[in-house]
Amino acid sequence: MRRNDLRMRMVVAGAMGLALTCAALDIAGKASPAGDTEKYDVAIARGRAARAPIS
Amino acid sequence: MSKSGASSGAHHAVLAGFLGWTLDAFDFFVVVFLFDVLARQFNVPKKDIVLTTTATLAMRPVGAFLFGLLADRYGRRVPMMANLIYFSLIEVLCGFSPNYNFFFVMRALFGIGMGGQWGVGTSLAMEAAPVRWRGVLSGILQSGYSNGYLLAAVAARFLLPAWGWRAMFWVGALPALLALYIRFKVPESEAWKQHRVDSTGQVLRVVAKEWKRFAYLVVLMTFMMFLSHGTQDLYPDFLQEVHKVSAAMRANITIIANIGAVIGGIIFGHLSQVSGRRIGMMAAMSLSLCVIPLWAFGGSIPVVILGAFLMQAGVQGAWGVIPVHLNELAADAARSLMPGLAYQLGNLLASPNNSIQYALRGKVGYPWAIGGFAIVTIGTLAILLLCGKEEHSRSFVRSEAVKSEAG
Repeated sequence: MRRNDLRMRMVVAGAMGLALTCAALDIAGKASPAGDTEKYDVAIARGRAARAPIS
Repeated sequence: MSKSGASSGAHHAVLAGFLGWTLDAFDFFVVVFLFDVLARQFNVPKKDIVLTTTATLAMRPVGAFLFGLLADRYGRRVPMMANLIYFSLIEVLCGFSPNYNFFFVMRALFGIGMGGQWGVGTSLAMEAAPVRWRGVLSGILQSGYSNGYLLAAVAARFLLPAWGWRAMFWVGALPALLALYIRFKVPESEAWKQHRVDSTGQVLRVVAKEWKRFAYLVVLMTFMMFLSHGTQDLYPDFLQEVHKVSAAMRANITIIANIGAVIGGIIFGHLSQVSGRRIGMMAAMSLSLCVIPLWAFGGSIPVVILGAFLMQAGVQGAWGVIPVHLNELAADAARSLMPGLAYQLGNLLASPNNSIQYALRGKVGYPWAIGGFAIVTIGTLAILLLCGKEEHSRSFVRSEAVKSEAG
């Protein structure tokens, strides 16, 4: 395997690892669910967009 | 440079682009997780804190224009570093906000930094990446937004209770370290060196000459925003109202959907490399289309969770192709400005998304409001893609340069 390919695979693995680790910590954690739940109520009340996860 | 046209520091450039967008998203989502805390701190209604996200959104095209122009005129590295330092500084100042007005202005200024990051970061990464890796790396780059959200969620769960809300913003200074990484590790884009122009006016003339393509990209991005925000923003409220899902479970479903998004971005990014950009995007959207019955009309929570996971795998699968597709369609001399500005203008134009969907909810019911909206959006995007072009895996450097390197 060429060194460049190996480096690219490491970047991909790192990004995946970061996402999975964060998700595991989030789901295991017990703290505030604020933001990703309550923001929508407010956004709806105002009839405007609260920006959310992707893009 | 290698035969593929990738520089020896390609992985550094890709990593910088990914981390830049991740940390940018993190800095944005910090506010989303602090709505209640900040409303109490500044003694204002929560809607006023929500309004700061709108201020950020409105300023993003300004940042895309300014930083994109600078990156096309002066190279990717310096504007990228300036952007990182800029939004890190603003984030720190947010943490020192003495009152709401100051905070509001800071969030608007943050929007300039946020808007500038995507165009500069993706051009830096895509121009450095080996051609055959472009698809996957495009998916990785775009997943930075989901990663930023997940990181902000972690910070909200662990940092906030321990150190308070100001520390949440001060942690947002970390991107400044990424500027050091770029300074010492990331090489300047070879493609930019070959296609650089002598003035910002020339960059603008290139965009003006390509105005039809630019307009097409803006329309494409507007509907891509409808696809992502239309399947995300109101979904937790839909879960609460239709399925009576608890707050904790709604948060967990959002997290699971984000994992689907990251995985989808990588899978369909790779598919776009094998089968073409538009086929990759349409395959991803086909997945989303197929799972709408589970996602919007599912009868039990496990089915809905599966639907949410697959829906976002498809949505982000299509989104994951966007960085490479836009970079390949952009003019060589305006590869930071054209994609970045199209992206942010599309984001702005699609901002009535929630209002439209919420109005539909009152007429046709929640499942059809989100499900029907997704069907129409996917259908429109399919037409746009079929009518559009792609320049799959085209070289960003001049052919004679590649030949001499290959020889």
